[in-house]
Amino acid sequence: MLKLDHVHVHYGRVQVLRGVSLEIPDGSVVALLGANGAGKSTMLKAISGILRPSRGTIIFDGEDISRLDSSAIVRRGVIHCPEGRQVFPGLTVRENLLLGSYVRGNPRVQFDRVIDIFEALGPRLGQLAGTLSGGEQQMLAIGRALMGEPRLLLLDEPSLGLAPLIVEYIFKVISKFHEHDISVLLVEQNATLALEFADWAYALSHGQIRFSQAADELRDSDLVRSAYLG
Amino acid sequence: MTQYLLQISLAGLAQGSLYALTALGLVVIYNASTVVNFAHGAMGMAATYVAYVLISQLHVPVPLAFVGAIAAAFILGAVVQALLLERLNGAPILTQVVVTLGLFMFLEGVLGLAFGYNPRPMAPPIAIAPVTVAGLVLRPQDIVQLALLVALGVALAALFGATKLGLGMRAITENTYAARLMGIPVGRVLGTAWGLGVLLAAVAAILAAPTTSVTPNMMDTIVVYGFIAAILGGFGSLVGAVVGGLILGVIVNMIDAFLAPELAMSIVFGLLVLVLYVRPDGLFGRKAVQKV
Repeated sequence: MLKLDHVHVHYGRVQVLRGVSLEIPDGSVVALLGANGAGKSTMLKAISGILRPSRGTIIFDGEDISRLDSSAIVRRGVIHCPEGRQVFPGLTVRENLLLGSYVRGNPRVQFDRVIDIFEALGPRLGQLAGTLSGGEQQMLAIGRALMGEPRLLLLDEPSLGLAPLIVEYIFKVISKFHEHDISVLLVEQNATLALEFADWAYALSHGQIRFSQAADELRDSDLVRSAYLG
Repeated sequence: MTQYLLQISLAGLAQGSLYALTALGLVVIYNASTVVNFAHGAMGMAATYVAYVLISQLHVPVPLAFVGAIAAAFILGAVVQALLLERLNGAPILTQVVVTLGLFMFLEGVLGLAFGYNPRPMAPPIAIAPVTVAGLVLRPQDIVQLALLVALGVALAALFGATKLGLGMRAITENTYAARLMGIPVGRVLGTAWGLGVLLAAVAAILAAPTTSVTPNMMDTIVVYGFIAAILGGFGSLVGAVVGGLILGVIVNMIDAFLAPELAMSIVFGLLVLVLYVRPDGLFGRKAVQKV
């Protein structure tokens, strides 16, 4: 479904990604692990068109999307749910959700579906997003991403700063995405958690892929655990 | 005396509607792009020259000429956004502001060069004699100005409150990064906001032209009052811009009538300082909340 081939990304003159290759099969959850500053968020930004790769190709459904702008990429069903939630604080929950379907036609059906998934948002539709709790904001961010009818969802640190109960709830939702033909690229600080839900994992450090392996093998590997997962 | 006061207030409201329209344009541009457009008046003035050329040199019917000038204003705004400000995306806000200052001087200079600085007359769009209602003299031009302000104000409120484009603009204001992640074509939406803002400046300038005449600096005073009206209303609030503009128009007209026109600008600035001293966010401004 998605294939990165030797992707290089620069921030000005600083090179952040150095020839990254990665593949996400249809309907799978792929975890991207690595320390802070390894380039994980940069990779997501390159895929979603926020950053333009200086070299390499990003193939989605057989088409090179690495030179498209973010609007065209969203329209193809690649949706990026960013780190730190990035809701629109001064807009209502309803407006936030509707913005998620900006490039889609009639948001009605998807809107009901999202409210069905995140029931907690239902009574808060008229409330400003900035007044929600951290967990509710994360639900809103994911719900907003779902409004874009994703085929591939790029999820950046969905558990960051949230209470364990809410993390569990959110990951239960994520684990059901494959039923709706949504593939997931998951960036997660909490590697143990990520590996529990992922089919496959890549480890990134200093802008390069160090290894990739099936998630269940990785879970049991002490060497990897001590070297990369802490 | 009451009659006289009412008459002055009425004329003040009509004059204030020009300040309000100018302020609305400033606020639309500022809300979307956070750029204070110092070329605002000059851009409206440039559009007025389009109307002037269409009417007096190409003999286009007046209503058609106005439509043409307003369309030209929209395009001018969108082009300036795309050519100048899009390139400066991410530059310090001061840089962007200086660019609009440069554009202000550029436009006044170029139009001065092309048409000279002699004021050129522009006939009022509607040549109907004033009517007297209950002892008050109503000038058709004043009624048209106020009606246009109301109509455009309502249209803007509907745009921001009930359309996808308006919601997109508000999203860009709130969080440009997230807006891009939603697939909002940020450049195109900002271009539209600039086009709309300059369109409002052009409406004000064209309405002002019969009184000010068409000159390169015809908008200089009006745009300053437009700025004051926007600040008074709490730079960012549409309602504030309208109310601020109308109040200002009445105050300025009172000063003209009872004191001296030369004093108007200084007294208005004094009042502005006073208002901001009591309410730093203006009359309708949202309190600037900073979250850590």
